Amino acid sequence: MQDFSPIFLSIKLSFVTTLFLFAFGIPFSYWLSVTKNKLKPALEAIIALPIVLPPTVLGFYILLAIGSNGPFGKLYESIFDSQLAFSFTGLVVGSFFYSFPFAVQPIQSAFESIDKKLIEASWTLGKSQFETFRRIILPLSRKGLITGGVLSFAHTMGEFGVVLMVGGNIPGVTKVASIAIYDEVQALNYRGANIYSLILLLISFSVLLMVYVFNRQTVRAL
Amino acid sequence: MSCFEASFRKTFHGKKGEEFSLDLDFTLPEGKITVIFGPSGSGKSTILRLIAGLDAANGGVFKSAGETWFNAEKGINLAPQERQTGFLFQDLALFPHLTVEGNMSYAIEKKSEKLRIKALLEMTELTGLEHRYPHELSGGQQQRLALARSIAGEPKLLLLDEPFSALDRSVKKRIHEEFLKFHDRFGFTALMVTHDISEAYRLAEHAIILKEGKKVKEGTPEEVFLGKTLSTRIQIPVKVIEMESDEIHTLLTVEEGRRTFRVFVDNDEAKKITIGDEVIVAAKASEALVFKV
Repeated sequence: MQDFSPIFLSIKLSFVTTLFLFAFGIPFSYWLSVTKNKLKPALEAIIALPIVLPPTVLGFYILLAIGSNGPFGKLYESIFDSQLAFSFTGLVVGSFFYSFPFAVQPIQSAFESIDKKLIEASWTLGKSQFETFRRIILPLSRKGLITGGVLSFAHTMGEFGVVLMVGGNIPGVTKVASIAIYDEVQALNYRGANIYSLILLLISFSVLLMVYVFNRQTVRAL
Repeated sequence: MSCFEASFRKTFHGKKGEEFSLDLDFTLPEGKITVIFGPSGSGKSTILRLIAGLDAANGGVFKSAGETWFNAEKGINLAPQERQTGFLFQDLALFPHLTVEGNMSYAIEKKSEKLRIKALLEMTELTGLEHRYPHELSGGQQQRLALARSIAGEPKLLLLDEPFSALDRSVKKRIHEEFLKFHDRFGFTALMVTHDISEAYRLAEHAIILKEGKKVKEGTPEEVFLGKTLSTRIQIPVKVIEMESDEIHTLLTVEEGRRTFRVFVDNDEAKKITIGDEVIVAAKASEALVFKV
């Protein structure tokens, strides 16, 4: 009997990670899109690192930071009295950094492509910065927001290296679908691996299909 | 009576990186349309941006009806939201994701003032198009929507950044008339910048000529554009829109405000003129025909 908990765990992890990425990524992307800070290129390079780094390298450093001897791991343990590494929360932290550029880059570029005149028009119509952001910038960045959200979700669904490094392979806690597939193959259970793989494939395809259909409609509407 | 006083300096860099500075002072008469006329790239748009608070001047003072909007020395610089200007941008800046009604109600939030939206839409002949998006409107309709939106909040000062420059002649003429109609109805103080002399002459009640960042002339449009207050000659600045030549003469079709008419010139004179030029047509006043209407 196939155990579907890794699939649900992957979906849960992707969902929670995407939520956090939106919460932090949107304000951060906005700041990046307007800042004239000289350190911006350096910051952008750091954010983009997960795209090129082997996930094991990223996972290794995250593990050092959140492990029981790492600074964040120690802090977490002193507050919550439980270990951060090899827990679901630890997975979320790892996935957050791993998928950060996939959320930030499309959102930032959507913010940057908005005609500055529209923002200024909103100001001259008496609207505050925040209201302008909410009523002009966000709706006009719909496409970038959706792309960022979907890429984060899909990217987190498919991660392997980071999860394995910071989460290990604890059934029901940190054993996500991609790791389950690897396990099944190791055990020469190709049928089980195939079921997981097909489900992942279908989820990824439907999510991407939704984006393309939606973007087509947006293009027609605008 | 004066409504808005400006006296300021601003140094900035032009498109090719050259340094450029504006050094100006002027007063906008209340309830009147003032036009600043100057060539493209002479910093005209910057003047409006400084007044609206979208850019900061290097020095100087802006005062609206006694209220200080900007004072470099005292460190006063009100945010654009606090200045109550209406800004009609060159490219209109209509919100593409909002309908005609959405664009209008963005400017008027109070429920008690919603009636004004209806009145404005009626005046701009946009009634019935409330649910259309800007890209579903014609160029003229977009223009009228932007105009209606910019005055919807009853700004103290309306700033117009060559908003009519991209329109073709017939549409432009119509929108000019509508703009004047709006102005008659609402009596707002307006400052418009343009490089189109016939537009400047047609709309201005008070005119300023800008050259290399400085004011070179200021006064009534007649004084400023025709050079004299009283004249024994009738002079009309016009724009050449068509030229047809025979062996001796050239027939110029010219445009002045709402009218076009034709004049003959010698071919020698015509050589200096090309279509699109601004020229002055003059006639002796003693030869003019006068009819009572």
